[in-house]
Amino acid sequence: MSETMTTTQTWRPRRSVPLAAQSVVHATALLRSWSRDPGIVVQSLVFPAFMLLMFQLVLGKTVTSMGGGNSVYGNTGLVALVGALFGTLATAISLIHERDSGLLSRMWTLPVPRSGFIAGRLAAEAVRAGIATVVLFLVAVPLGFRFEHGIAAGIGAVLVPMIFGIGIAVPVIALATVASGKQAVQQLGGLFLLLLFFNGGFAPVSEYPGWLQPVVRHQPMTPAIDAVRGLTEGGAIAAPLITTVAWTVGLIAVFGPLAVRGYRRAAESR
Amino acid sequence: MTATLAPTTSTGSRGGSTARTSVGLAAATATLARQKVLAAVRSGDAVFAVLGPVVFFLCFYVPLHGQFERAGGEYAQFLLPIILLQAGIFTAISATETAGYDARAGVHERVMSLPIPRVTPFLGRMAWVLTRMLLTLVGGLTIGYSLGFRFHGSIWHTAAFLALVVVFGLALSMLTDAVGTVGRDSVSIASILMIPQLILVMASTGLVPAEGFPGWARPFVRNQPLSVFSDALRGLADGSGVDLTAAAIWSVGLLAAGSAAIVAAARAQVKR
Amino acid sequence: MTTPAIEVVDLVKNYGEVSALKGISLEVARGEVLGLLGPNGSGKTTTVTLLSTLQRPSSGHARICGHDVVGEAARVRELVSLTGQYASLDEGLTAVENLAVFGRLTGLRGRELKVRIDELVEQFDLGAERDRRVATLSGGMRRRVDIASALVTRPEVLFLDEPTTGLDPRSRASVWDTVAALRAEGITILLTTQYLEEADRLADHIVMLNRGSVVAAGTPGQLKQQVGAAVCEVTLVERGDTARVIDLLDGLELVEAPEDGTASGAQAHPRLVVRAPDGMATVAEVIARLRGAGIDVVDIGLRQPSLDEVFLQLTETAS
Repeated sequence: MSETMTTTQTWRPRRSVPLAAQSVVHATALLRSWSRDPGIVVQSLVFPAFMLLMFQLVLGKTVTSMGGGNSVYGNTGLVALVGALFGTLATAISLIHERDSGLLSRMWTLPVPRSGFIAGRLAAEAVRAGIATVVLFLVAVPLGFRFEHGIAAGIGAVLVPMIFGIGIAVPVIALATVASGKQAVQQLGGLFLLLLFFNGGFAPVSEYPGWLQPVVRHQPMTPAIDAVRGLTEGGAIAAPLITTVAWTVGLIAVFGPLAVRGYRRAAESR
Repeated sequence: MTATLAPTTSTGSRGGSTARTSVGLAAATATLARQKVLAAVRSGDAVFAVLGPVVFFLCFYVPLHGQFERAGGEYAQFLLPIILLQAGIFTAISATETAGYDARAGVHERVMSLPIPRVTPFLGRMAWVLTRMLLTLVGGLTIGYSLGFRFHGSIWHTAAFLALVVVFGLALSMLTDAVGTVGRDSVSIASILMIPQLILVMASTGLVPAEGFPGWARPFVRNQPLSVFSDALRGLADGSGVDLTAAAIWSVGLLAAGSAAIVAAARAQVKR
Repeated sequence: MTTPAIEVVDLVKNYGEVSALKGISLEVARGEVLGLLGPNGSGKTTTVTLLSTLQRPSSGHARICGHDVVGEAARVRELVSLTGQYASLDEGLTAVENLAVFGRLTGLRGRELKVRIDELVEQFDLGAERDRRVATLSGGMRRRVDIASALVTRPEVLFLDEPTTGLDPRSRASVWDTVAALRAEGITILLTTQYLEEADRLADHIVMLNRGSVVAAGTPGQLKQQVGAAVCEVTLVERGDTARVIDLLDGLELVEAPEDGTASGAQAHPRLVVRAPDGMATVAEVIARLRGAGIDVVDIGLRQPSLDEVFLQLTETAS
């Protein structure tokens, strides 16, 4: 090892970095890590493709026979959102891992704004959901999936799971930072399973018992699926889209402070 | 753990140490099994084993029973077998992770230095698999019964039903245990195994009758192992005269494949 | 008079009921290396945690280059760099990618960053493993990447939290070389360690902590004098010889001797310890005296004060 610290150029002093640049660094680091984990790649890209194929196979014919329209649009929307939903659990596991290894603490001492850490994580979440949705749409094309409303609407359809994912990620981050984070995340997986089966995309709302129907109709996945359907197949766009955005804004408003506080607490624990 | 594996005959003289004597298969397995079961209970796996089938049953039952019953039929009676089989697959997938953990954490090396038969750690893991399958049956039958599932056959039919579920889970777990032991990244393997699980569970006669599938899919759907087992289990539950040949052949085949895999994995471990 | 690099006044940190720091004060001049010495639980890591703005003190204050760690936390973060004993890095990224992340988050970009990374790879001998994921690297290698990550840009103050714990001797030597080189660059270093030898070798000043309080402070030379130099340890064969030997060693400073005639729990072979200011010469003197009187010994030797003895002495003299 050489005796001097610098060789060819001056040793630049440490300097503050603004929010945007910081968020990009965090987001790219996370995405890079995730892309190297075969489990995560399978979970986000491969498994949903098979899920779509299976749902089309098993539920497609029966839904169509009940006059629900070409169900490939509903199923694709459903699977895209399921992907975004369960993807937030991977974010939670990454976070817990980084806390336990001390990386979170070390990062906290860097000359960057505090809010950038969560911003970067949410950005990574959104990008992953976006990539997964594009891949899924490609898989859905041979099954009859089309952008009936044009490219712009199609891009909007890709944005919906991204927006949804950001909304769900905030309470998930808040939960992951409590002491028993790992178990809390597992239990959250159970809740997500219920969300997957009890929404208007899996089966028509009328199939559910009366007392459950309001829950099924209004849980955040249902309007999101309807938004994707509207933007690709046709049908209402404004109402479900606004509801989806409202859910995300609401979740951020309610759980945002908890997530921020939780993140700080996780970083400060050594 | 080592305390209970200490020699039972203490010929200790003052200040001298007793030589290690071999410990029998039953005693060693019992100890390791207890350790595995306690660990699983502590980590909440036991709760998951009971509640898993309950949740999945409800998730499929609630949205789908309406259309099934409109066509004339009891959905709880129809659905329960595949739920139990699915839980068996989940048990097998988690057996992969357990085996991988044991192999990686050096548990293998440590245990192999003890005077116990070589097969003991594997038997300990299978003891938990067995326990989990029984817990699965408890959870599944409870929710099934509460929604209309009934055993209509003789005591032998019911016994065969329970045995078939357990054998399925056990045989599959033997295979996945072997894979987890030799595989490098058992967590990723577990993630990948979720895909065949998805296909086998959904593209079977377990959720939806064969007529619900398009024509080109029916040959696969009818003959794949989960359909075979589902049909067999349904027949046993109904008590009707059911042809168990296919299920029996598959069971034997799975057990044979599982045993072969375990032996191969053990050999591979010794070589390392 | 220039502002000290680190200034700590009556710093207190409580975690619920537990008091990790009971009010410590210290000062480190610019360009100095301070060794913070103490056993586990003494408050070393807590001190670093507070000074790096990771947590806030319960009371008291601390300043880095004149900036308060609570009131001007963001400014302090521009001045300090931290590397810890657990070598916290992003496991999923390669060594080089980690350097890039830390570089980008401390203000370095583009071509400058790339050149700097290549420099660090060479300086810290990371060449062979530069594109391997951190999770697959050995302990010594990870520590090198960890330290390099803290130095992508130049900090004013560097906190090295137990940098050589768990390392093999070769890696440890290389870390020591790095510290020396950094000191030559004029960087202020606060080094926490359990090893007296490490603090002795590297530090200009040492502050010794025990259970959250400062028990000693000074240069390594001052502390060694305070605690005492090496000692000569003699273990006798016959218990009955003890009184005679004590007489024989008259003139030498007896540090430890068993009570003559104590029956209960008495050692089979009594042990006496005398201070050995002249090292081996003192040992030779002891041997000569005992030989002359025909006293037989089991063991005789020159022992350096261990950290435990240092602490024992310090806590004894304090009470």
